[in-house]
Amino acid sequence: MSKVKFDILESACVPLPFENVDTDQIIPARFLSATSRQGFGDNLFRDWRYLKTGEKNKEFVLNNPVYHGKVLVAGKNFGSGSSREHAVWAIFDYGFRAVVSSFFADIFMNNALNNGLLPIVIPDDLLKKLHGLIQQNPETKVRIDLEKQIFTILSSGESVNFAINPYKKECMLKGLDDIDFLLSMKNEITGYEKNQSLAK
Amino acid sequence: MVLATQCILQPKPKKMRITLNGKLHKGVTSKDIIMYIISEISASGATGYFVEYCGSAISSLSMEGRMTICNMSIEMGARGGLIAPDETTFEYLKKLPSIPEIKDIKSSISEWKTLRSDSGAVFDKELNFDAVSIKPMITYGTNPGMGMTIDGSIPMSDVNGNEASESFIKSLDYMGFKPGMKLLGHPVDFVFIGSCTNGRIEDFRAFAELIRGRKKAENITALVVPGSKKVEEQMIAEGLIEVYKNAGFEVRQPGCSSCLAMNEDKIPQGKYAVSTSNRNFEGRQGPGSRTLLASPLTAAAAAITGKITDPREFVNE
Repeated sequence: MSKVKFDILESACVPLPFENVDTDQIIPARFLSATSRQGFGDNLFRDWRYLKTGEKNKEFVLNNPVYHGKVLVAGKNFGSGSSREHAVWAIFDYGFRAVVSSFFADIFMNNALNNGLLPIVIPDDLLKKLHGLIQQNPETKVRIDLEKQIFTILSSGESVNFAINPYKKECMLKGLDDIDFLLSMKNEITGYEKNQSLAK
Repeated sequence: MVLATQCILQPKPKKMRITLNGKLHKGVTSKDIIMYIISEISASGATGYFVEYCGSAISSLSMEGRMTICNMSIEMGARGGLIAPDETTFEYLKKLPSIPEIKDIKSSISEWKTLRSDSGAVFDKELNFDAVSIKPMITYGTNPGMGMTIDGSIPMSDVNGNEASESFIKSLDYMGFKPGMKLLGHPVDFVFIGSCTNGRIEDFRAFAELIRGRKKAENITALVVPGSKKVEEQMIAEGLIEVYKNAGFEVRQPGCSSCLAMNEDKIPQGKYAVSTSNRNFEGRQGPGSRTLLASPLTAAAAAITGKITDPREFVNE
């Protein structure tokens, strides 16, 4: 179902240097009753992007034209809280293809990997440094090579390896998801169910 | 995934065991236990782990008490929370409608008894807590880890000791609180009892016991929301709805309600809500709403006094 392939990405960055950004901020609950995956990008960080009056919040990074790009550089523990997959759909629909942090919440990370959005974990001090560089120069670009698992800050040349579950990496490179993988094991699954002893 | 394949694909998680021994004080509930643990290890403290809970304080809990703990495990990042089945579990199961369909309940129970960790099991992380040191809890910030004892003071810095942490300051600003502040006696506007964490019949019984014969404070709106239709039916059968209505509480349709405010049960901008739910993120209960997570007893006490109150004042009467 994923069908989105990820290979190499070079892009400027959008910084969101807050810790513990939860999925209620990423996509507030009132938008979850939609019946299509399209349009979630409009509601990404909705209550931070817009003031109560309905006007755009000029202080918020997504409304600052100085920042652009396909890489969201976040803070520690990004994506915590509710497991809503819509959070990933909103980030992806907005146009991001990778999120960089020093720590992701578990379920958010898996949702991201299943939807073609690459979560990259870099050391905390490099993350802080990157935020500093972006603040000095909003055009700071990064390069993400999924095959080689290398993350590079192009302006400074600093490079770091990032970890990714090998299975998820293959899925992202090829545009496959868990359903494709599980369906390839249909016979084993049926066999296991037949042998279950509970509730006979 | 489940519909397509009958499976949930899970990478093997790390294992954490949390042992809680000792006896809980009166007025302290399983909700306070899990809130205490999360405040100790943070909202990401169990990320990547499945957590097993054990110890005398856990095994002395009812099934519903245990469910509250397992339910809220995700708020410390855990993928799941487990408590091994025992006689309390089997007695609970025997009362469920589906159980009579099992042909040989004795052999099922024998099998279920094997569903526990081996005595020599090795866990990736082990934590120990003493139930006696747990008091009624309340959150002061915008994630479930930002909790403290009801009579405590808001910390001066974040969990890393960083006073100037942007996230910490932002969180307190949102809540209208300051570092070092005490919350006891702070006025509240709403009380919500419900949610998957505390929306079961035992929660409503405990809440009803505390408020019986009393009226809710004038300055608050109190929402009582059964977790399900079945719980609602039980509440009616036990006469609990009458107790609530006599006290001036609104009993709403079963469901998630104010926990995430997808329906009309929203907390307005800037208002404080003592809530028996599980998440206190910015805007969770409505844009600009200020959530204070607590147990059903703490919520009941706040509903009567109109301010943040230690439920032990009522319980020891």
